Amino acid sequence: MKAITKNLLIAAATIIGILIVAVIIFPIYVIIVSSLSSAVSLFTPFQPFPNPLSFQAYYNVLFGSTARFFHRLGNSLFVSLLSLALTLAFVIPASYALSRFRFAGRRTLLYGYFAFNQFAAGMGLSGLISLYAILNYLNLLDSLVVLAVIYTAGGIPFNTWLLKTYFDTIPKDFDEAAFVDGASYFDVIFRVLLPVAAPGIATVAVFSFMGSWGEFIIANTLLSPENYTVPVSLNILLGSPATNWNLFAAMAILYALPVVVMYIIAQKYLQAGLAMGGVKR
Amino acid sequence: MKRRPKFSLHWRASDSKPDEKSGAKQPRTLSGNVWTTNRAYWLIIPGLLLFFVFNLYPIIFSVYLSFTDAWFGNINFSFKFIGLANYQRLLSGVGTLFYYSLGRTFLFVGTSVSLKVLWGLALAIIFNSQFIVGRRVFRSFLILPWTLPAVLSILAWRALFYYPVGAIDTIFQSIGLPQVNWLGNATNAFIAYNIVEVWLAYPFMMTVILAALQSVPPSLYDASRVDGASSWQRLRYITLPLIWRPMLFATILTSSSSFQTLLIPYLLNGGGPSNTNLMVMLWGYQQAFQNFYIPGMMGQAAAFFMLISLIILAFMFIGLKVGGITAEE
Repeated sequence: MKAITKNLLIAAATIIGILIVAVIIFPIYVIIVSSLSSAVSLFTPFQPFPNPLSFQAYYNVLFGSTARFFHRLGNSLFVSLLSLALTLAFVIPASYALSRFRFAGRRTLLYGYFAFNQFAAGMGLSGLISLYAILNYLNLLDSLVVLAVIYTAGGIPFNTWLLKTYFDTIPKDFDEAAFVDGASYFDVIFRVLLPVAAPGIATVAVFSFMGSWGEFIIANTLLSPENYTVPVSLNILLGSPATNWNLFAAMAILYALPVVVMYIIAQKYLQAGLAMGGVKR
Repeated sequence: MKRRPKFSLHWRASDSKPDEKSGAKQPRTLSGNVWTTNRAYWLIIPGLLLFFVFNLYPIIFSVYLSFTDAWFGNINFSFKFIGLANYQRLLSGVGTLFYYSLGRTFLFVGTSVSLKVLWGLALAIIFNSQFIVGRRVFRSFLILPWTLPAVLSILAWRALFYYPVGAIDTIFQSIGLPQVNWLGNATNAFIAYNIVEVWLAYPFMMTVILAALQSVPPSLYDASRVDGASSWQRLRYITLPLIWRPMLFATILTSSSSFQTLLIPYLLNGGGPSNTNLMVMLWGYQQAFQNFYIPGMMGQAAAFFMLISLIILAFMFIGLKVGGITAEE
């Protein structure tokens, strides 16, 4: 009798779980369905299943000339990968130093980065006004390289914290032993620590990539149409009544794909980073 | 197995180098020499410099901008210092939406944060239940909203809310409910903002609460079951007292992000209809970058962000206090 009650409870709870997940992923389902439908405009009523099933939208996005998706995708990729490389180059040494060395100003810097993290968005927009003025003066407004540098600079406090916390979990014996064997700082960072810290570094890399890949406001403010990244052009695409909704959906799916793949691969680490929310200790 | 430090000539030689500043003063232990060093600065300064030039300095400069009459016409550094005029105009409330947007935003913080906490708590409890088969798979799906780029999700929601043919209205019609003009009506749009904000941000609440729930020792529940406690009593007297601190911390963080909501109003309907749902960040952005052809607007926007930052500072201060308490445990 008790076993039956338990099985019933399991069935009921699992069904409730499935229902909740279904409601939550409904918006994602709608985009997928629309991307697989043939020419739907925003004014066509929503259909729960693609009827007839068509890959025309994907074909148009990838090989058609109107949406220029490849061009946009190239812009986004360029900015995100450049920013990723810069982030690693600047963040790894700094977080190593913050984790291993004790020096004057260390706590101040750590707390400064921490506080900035919480404060960033509000002040960041205000900084964007100055940045606009300065870049306008230097004639650098519409540059993808500058955009990548801005993204990198914006992510330094968070990424440094994140990696510093990861370095903290690696026992000091590791590098100590290498020093004793006569290794230089350079050797210790590149040959000893980096292989051990690979998961932490991967997390920073993914956060950095996802940050630049998804950033909208700064790109929208600084870039001219020729240099638009994918999120900016998605907004413009949806804003125009002439847009085919299935084309938008296909573009959106392709845009989300790299991020989702990354998420699936690095899920464990990313969830830890999410729980941290940029704040730890 | 731990490696014992080997005796090494190389190390000894570098240890006694005369140019090694720290060498003489510090105790002659390995830790003393290796971990306390000025070389750390060379590793930190490049990143700090980049951060300073492209992030901190613009913010500091915008403090000055807030005392000027900057707009698009004079943004090439020909703007003038005008003292506190921007602040006076904003605080007087005459002809500006300062107090209105602030009020609307605090209303949004109140509603969206309550919904996020309740929804996050409910999901965490449900998906921590031993009765759900395949909890891990469920949780992977539940975190999806956090994974996707926010712009994409918000634009998808905008299409879902599209009146009268969007997915939501189509479903409403097919089950006999009246169709709702989601984004064309002040109250409905406000509800839509809340829905999207909860959808975007609950994974954070849920993850924090789930982590806290999993740290509750199961023996406590077993003991309470023996004593005949109901499941409500277990939730009220065991679970909640043990998870309220991480929850409080997450609530403060998520309040701050609700207060700073920008993409949701901007992408859904531009804070409309006709500015009825203008949130503070959006209004600041509009002043700076959409109305910048109006003289003085960029300066006024900078001043506006200064005032808003004071409020965010308060959030942060409370967060640090509560966070400090959490860290001590």
